[in-house]
Parts: sequence; C-alpha cells; structure tokens
Amino acid sequence: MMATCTSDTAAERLQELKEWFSAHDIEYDSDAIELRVVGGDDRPSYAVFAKEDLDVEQTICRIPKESVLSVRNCGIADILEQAELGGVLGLAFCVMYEKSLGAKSPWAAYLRSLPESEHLPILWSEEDFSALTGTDVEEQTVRDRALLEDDYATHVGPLVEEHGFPPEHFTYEKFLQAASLVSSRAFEIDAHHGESMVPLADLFNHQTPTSLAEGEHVHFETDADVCPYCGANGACYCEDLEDEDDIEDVDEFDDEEGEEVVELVTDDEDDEPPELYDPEDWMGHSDEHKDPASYAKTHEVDFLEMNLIRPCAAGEEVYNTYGEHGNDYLLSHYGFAEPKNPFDSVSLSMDAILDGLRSRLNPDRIEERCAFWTQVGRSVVESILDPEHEESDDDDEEEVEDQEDDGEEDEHSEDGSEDTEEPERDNFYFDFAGKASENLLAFLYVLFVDAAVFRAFTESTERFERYVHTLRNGGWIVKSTASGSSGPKGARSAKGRGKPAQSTSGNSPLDRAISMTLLALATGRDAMYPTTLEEDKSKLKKLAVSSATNCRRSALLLRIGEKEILARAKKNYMAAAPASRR
Amino acid sequence: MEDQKHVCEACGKPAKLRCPTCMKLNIAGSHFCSQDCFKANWGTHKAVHKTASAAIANGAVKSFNPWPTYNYTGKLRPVYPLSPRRAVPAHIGRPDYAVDGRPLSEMSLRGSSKIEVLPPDEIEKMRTVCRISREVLNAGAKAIKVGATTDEIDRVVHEACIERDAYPSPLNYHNFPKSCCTSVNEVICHGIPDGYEIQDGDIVNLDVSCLYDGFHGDLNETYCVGNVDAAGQKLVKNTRLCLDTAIAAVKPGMLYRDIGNIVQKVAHAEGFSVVRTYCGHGINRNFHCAPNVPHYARNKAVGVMKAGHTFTIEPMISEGTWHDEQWADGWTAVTKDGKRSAQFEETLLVTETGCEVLTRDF
Repeated sequence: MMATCTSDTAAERLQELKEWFSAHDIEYDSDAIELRVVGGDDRPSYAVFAKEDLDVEQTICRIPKESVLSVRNCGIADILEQAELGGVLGLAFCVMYEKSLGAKSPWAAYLRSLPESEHLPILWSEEDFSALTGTDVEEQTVRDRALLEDDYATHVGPLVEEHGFPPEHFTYEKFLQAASLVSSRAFEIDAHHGESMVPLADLFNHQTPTSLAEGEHVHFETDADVCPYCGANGACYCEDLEDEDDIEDVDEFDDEEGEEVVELVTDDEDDEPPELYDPEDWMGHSDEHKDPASYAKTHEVDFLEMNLIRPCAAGEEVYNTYGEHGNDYLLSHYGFAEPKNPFDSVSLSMDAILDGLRSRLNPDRIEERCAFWTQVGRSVVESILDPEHEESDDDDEEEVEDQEDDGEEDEHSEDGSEDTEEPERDNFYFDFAGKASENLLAFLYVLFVDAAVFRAFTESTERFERYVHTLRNGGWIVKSTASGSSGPKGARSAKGRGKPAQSTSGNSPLDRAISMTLLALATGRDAMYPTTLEEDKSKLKKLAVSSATNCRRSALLLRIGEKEILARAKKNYMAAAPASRR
Repeated sequence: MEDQKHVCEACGKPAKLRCPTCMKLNIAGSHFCSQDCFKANWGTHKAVHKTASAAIANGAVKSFNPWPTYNYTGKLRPVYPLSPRRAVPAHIGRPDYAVDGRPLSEMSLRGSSKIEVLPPDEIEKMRTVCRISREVLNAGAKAIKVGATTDEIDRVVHEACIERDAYPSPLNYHNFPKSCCTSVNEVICHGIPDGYEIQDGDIVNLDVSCLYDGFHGDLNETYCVGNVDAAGQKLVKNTRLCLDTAIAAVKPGMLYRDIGNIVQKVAHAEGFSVVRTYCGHGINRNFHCAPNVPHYARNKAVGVMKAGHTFTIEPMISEGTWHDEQWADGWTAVTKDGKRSAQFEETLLVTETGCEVLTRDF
C-alpha cells in the first residue's frame, strides 16, 4: 500500500515537473521522447525514452540558461558571492536554501521532483559501507566525509548562523543530502554559472560503453565561453573594460570627483565615426528583420541543448554520458556501478608501495628517490604523458627549475598547493587490462635504478626525460599485453590479456625486480578484501534486483571489477617475473 | 522611394548604409558602402554636420522624424532636432561618465551581485540627494501642460538641478543626450526629451535622477494631462498602487525577487501587464548597481534585503502587452502594441523595521 502511494506521487510529481518545464520555457520534443517514472516503488526515479527512432544531430531538448539553478541566480546569490562560496559547496547551499522555501521557490516543482538524496557512499549505513572494505571507494569515501564535515563546520554552519536561516533546513544531514544531489546531477554549464542544477537535462541516465552496452545517445551542448562576470553570450559592457587600467582610472576619478573640473565633451564630433545606420534593420519587410532590441534579446536568452550523437531506436531509453569513469568514480559521485566497466582501475597509494619495499630497499634510498619523484619526476612524467597540459603545469616546471638551484623549493611548493585545491595525484594504478600505469612504472624505475643512473637524473632533468622516453618506446616491461595501449580505448580491446610474455627471457634484472614488485602489490591489494572474487560473483547472482539491494549490488560490482583487474595484473606480472614463482 | 539605388558618398559603389548623424540632422543622402569607407572619409564628412547644425540653429530647418521608415508601434514620433546639449557649471561635482559616456565605476562592478550596506553618513547623503531629486521632479512636473514640449520640461529639470548644485544623472549616462527622461503614452521609459508638444489627454512620465555629494537619487511619476480617458486614469492609479503595495512589503530578510510577485498580482487584478525588460536597481555612489529588481512574478533575481541597502522599485505597467521594443535612438522603449504604459518610482532605504521612502513627497 505504501509502495503504491509513493508511485502515485512519483507520477504526480512528474506531471507537476512537466508543467513547471513549460512555465519556465524548458522544451523537449514530445513527439520524439517521453519522460517516464522508472525504478522500484520505494525509490522511483525518472528516465527518458525514445518515442520514435531518433537520428544523429537531432535536438531533443532546449533549456534556457535562465532556468538552471546556480550560485549566480539563487535567491541568496549575493550572500554566497560575499562569502565566496562557489563550486559544489556553493551549489549545495543553493539547493538547501531554495528547498527551505518550499512552494515559494521559483524552482519548487523541480526541487520536489528530485529524490531527497542520491545514495552515494558518503550516506551509506555502516553496514552497507563495510561492503566497500579494501576497495578504492572505501578510502575515497573516508576522505570525502572528512572534507564535507570540514566544509560544513567552516562554511555552512557559520553562514547559516550569520544570516539567521532556519537551522532545521541546514543540518549536516541536509547538507550531505544536498551535496549528493549536486555531485550526481550538476553540470558545469559555463564560465558564469559554473556548476549548475539543470532541470530536464538531469533526467537522462548514464551508460558506459562496454562489451555489454554501446554507451550514450545524447550530448549536452552549450556556449560555455560567456562573459564570466555577467554571463552574456556576446557583447556586454564588461567587455568595454578593455584592461585593468580602466578600473584603476575609476578609483582615481572617484577620489578627484567634485574637486577637479573636467570639461564636458560638448562637441560630439570626435575622431571615431558612429556606427552606420542600416535601413534594412528597420524596414520590417520580413519576419527575419532584426528586432530593435536584438542586442539585448540575443544575450538574454541563451540555451542549453541535448543533441543526439548516436541513433536511438523507438522504445529505447535515451542515455547521456557522465564522462569516461570507472566504477569507483561512478559510485562515489553518482551512486551506481556498471558491470565490465572498461574505465575501471585499481589505485595504489605511494605509502602502500613503499611499505612493501621497506624490507628490500634501504630507507635513505627510499627517501632520496621519493623526494626526486615528488619534486621532479612526477611532473616530468606527467608532461611527457600529456604534453597538451603543459600550460597548466607551469608551476611544476618552475618547481623543476628551482630544484636545480637547490633553493627555496619548500616555499615554492607551498605556493603551488595554494593554487590547486587538491594535492597532486600520483596516478598509481592497474588499468582494466591489469597493466601498471605509466606513472607507477616510472616511479618504480626511479626507486630501482642503480645509484649512478639515479645520480644522472638528479644532475639533469633532461637525462631523466630521455630515460622515460626510452622506456616508453620499449613498451616498458611485460610485452604480453596490448602494446602501446595506454588509454581506456586500448584497454577495452586488450583481449590478449593473460598470455604470458614471450620476451621474458630478455628481461633485465631491473625489469624483473619491478615485475616482482608489481606482482606483490597486486597480491597484497587482493588480500585486503574480506571476500574472494568467486564469492562475490555468486553473491551477485543471488542478489535480487531491487532498489533495497542497490548499495550491496554496487559494492559487489565494484569489488568484482577491482578483483578481476588484480587477477589480470597478477597473471601479467607473474609471467614477467619468473623468479618470483613459488 | 527607399527602393531607389544609392551610391557611396566616398567611393561611388552601391551603398545602403547611412550616416546616423546626418539622419538625425535631416541631411539627405550620406550613404556609405561600408563602415571602413565611412571611417576613411570621416575627416571630411563630419564637416557636413557642422554646416547642418548651423542651419538648424538659425531656424532654416524645422522639425523632422529622423527614422521615417521605422514601423512605429503607436502614434508618437520623435521630433528632431534635439536642442543643444545643456551645460553643467564647473563647480558641480560630476560623474565619471560625464566625459565619455562610460560609467566606469559601475562597469567595474562587472555584474557583481553583492549589495552594499551603506554606513550612517552615506545614508545621510542618500537622504539629501533623494530630497533634492524630489524637489526637482516636482519643479519639472509643474511644467507639464498642454502645448509644452518635452524639451521644455528637460530645461526646467536641468535648471532645477543646477540651482541645487546637483548634476542631472541621466546626462551623458551611456551617452544619453538629455537631463531627464520624458515618456509619453506608449513610451514605457527612457523617452528622450525633444520637440514633441504635449497633447490634452496624454499621460506623461517624468523620470528625474540627481547626483549630489557623490550619491544618486532616482524617482519618477506619471502625470495625466488634461482630459485623460478613464482607462488611462485607471492605468496610472493602478501603477501607483503597484509601487505602494510593493514598498509596504520591503523589510530586512525579504528576497528581492519577491517584489515582482507583489507587483504583478496588483497589476493583473485590473487586467494590466508588467514590463519585463526594465527593472528597479540598487543606487548609491553608482546610478545603477546590484540588486536588480524585476517587477514581474516568478523572476529569478538575486539578493536578500538588509538594513542599509538603497534601491529603487519602479514598476512599468501596460494596458496591453508587456512586450517592448526600442526606437532607433537606442533609448526610447515603447510597447509592442502601441498601447499606453505608466510608471512610478521611488528610491528606498531598507531599515531595521521596514523601509524609508527616501524620495517621498513632502
């Protein structure tokens, strides 16, 4: 009875939402698609289905930017701007605030259509959470919870108190719920609005392209390159301020105001001629004649669109993509995981790697090599792997140069960490095919190369660069896996996994040491899970498909994905490290 | 007549574009093939304007409509030439835009939604300039009568400002040519005072803003001239009621976006519509700043009222459609259906308990 009741409400809310869409000029092609209530009775959600065959480049939704909810147009945008609250945190605050107004919010029907929260691991019960033991998401969730707690204590709580917002609508629990909605549904729409809740666009579910599914049908498109200040897509007054000097002039002028006499320009014949008058703009002969207020109108109404990038057959669900993400990311950001996700990986922390090596390498060596890695090696490898991102790596490069001076690198790295919110990630992981990431390999080489070679690295960054290039050109070690594949695309087609390396005989002692280490890492990591792969697989089979079991199901999919990767990794590196065979 | 072929005054190629200054001065011809060709010949061309200006000054040229081909939505037409720009004595403090039309201090806010809370001494300055603005409006209102030109009203307003050592804020704001706005009948707002002679039965809005001691005040009222029909009187009365009802609701903690719900309710109750393109605004050291205050319902304006905020509410209420368009002068906003539109405006200060109408009549 309870379930029927909720389901009715879900249909009613969808109807209410549709009416809200039309009141806010949010349009979709109702001949082409329909919105449906899906999911279990206890936790209904919405999805988009094709009513007819949809073709590439078809636009099925048009959403005026004005209708999104962002830190720029929330009722308390002035307070958020003053408090410098932006990003996910700022948007979560907007959601809590607008929800607190109930029916009085301009987004009322939209907000009512959302679930109270998205079931992300940050909100899981301890029992459900224990199913994540040993996975990448376990650690991620612990970190997320700490960050959210800190955000709440330092930003949310004080702001609520300062402005006398009703505290019952801004509890820590409500904050986590709002954060889960923002995390799972927000889109980065443009330079002005930033992260935004986008009605209608957020009804499309995600599909990862896997061996089991083909991936998304639609893409979300908009002009993101708008004026960051006023949001205008086109000409605006902000643009008239050509440079910072103009603004400084203002200050000077203000100071002098009323004191210095400035001659009025009474002669309007200055040296720049005015814009010529085009009579066709005013004749009104055709429907296409420019509206006199077109200047204002064109940047008043700016749209977001959902466009088809792959045909979708009538009756099918229309999918979007939330990006190329592994299950760890999907689960922690969106609350679900997918079987056979080719973007899956298993991360390794630097500490975990070093812990396993402390018995084999002397502490001084580890300390020295790690210092080289964090200060020089990592950024060199990053810039080799992703040369296009060199611009944003400017800081790193400076760091590298400073390092050579043996100067104040401590100060410098502090500067760097102020710029970037998160500490730099090491990108140590096994990919879907069970191959060590190139960062991980490079780091292990730094640890294992003999003293003379290492000294050369410290003396010349270029020497290290050349070394990494040589390793990459040689396909690193373990030539068994698909050669040269580094991206997820390659990983997806890595069907040759598990075949022992044919060239193991040619491996040097250095290669063998590294393979052994990787094997030990995969084995060690695998031992952290309380259950085995086989146990998980049979549990998943037995698990009924119901929303009540969603957490357990996602946790199992995640665990199975990770364990399969570790199994592949073990196979790969056992072959390359024959000496470690028992 | 417009279909005949024109050639570029500079290069002789076919041309359809025209020099806007020549059009305002009622000079025939003056076609150019492109902005570049126009620019290249600007040095010699602009001499034509000087000659024509002189002809207008000595009365050789009478009034004219500078955009004869534009489809005017109602009966009103611009009556050019405009009178020469009025001077402001050097001892009067002037805004940054007095020089080149660009309000740089406003522009440098770059659309910030932060709303300033004024300290007591600045609130006192706002009280002063708002009182002056009210005096100026009342002086201008006395000049509104059948047969007076809107330019004559502008002269009265300008002189009333100067008498009080105030700068008329509209003058040269984004190059606005006059010292106040006069909006007749279908003009929603931003009408440029010109040679138009006020008729019996017109509704005339006079919008006055002053800058004094570094702060701006802003208000407007709509006046019924002579025998205005019942519908027109009802519109004007309703518009005043929209403003008064909205003002009564102003208090700390209220959302700026909720003003529009109040205004629209009052307007719709009598079958009128609310103009959406133009809004109330924050006002202090800047003529226009945050918050933005739309008058229509369910808007998404941002900001929460707080004691010390100063802003305007200025509903524009229309007999017919709320849709607007703009004349070629780049200012005059008219109703799309040519029906009448009225407006009232006050500058307000949010206080601890409600609000103070800084521009109130005395």
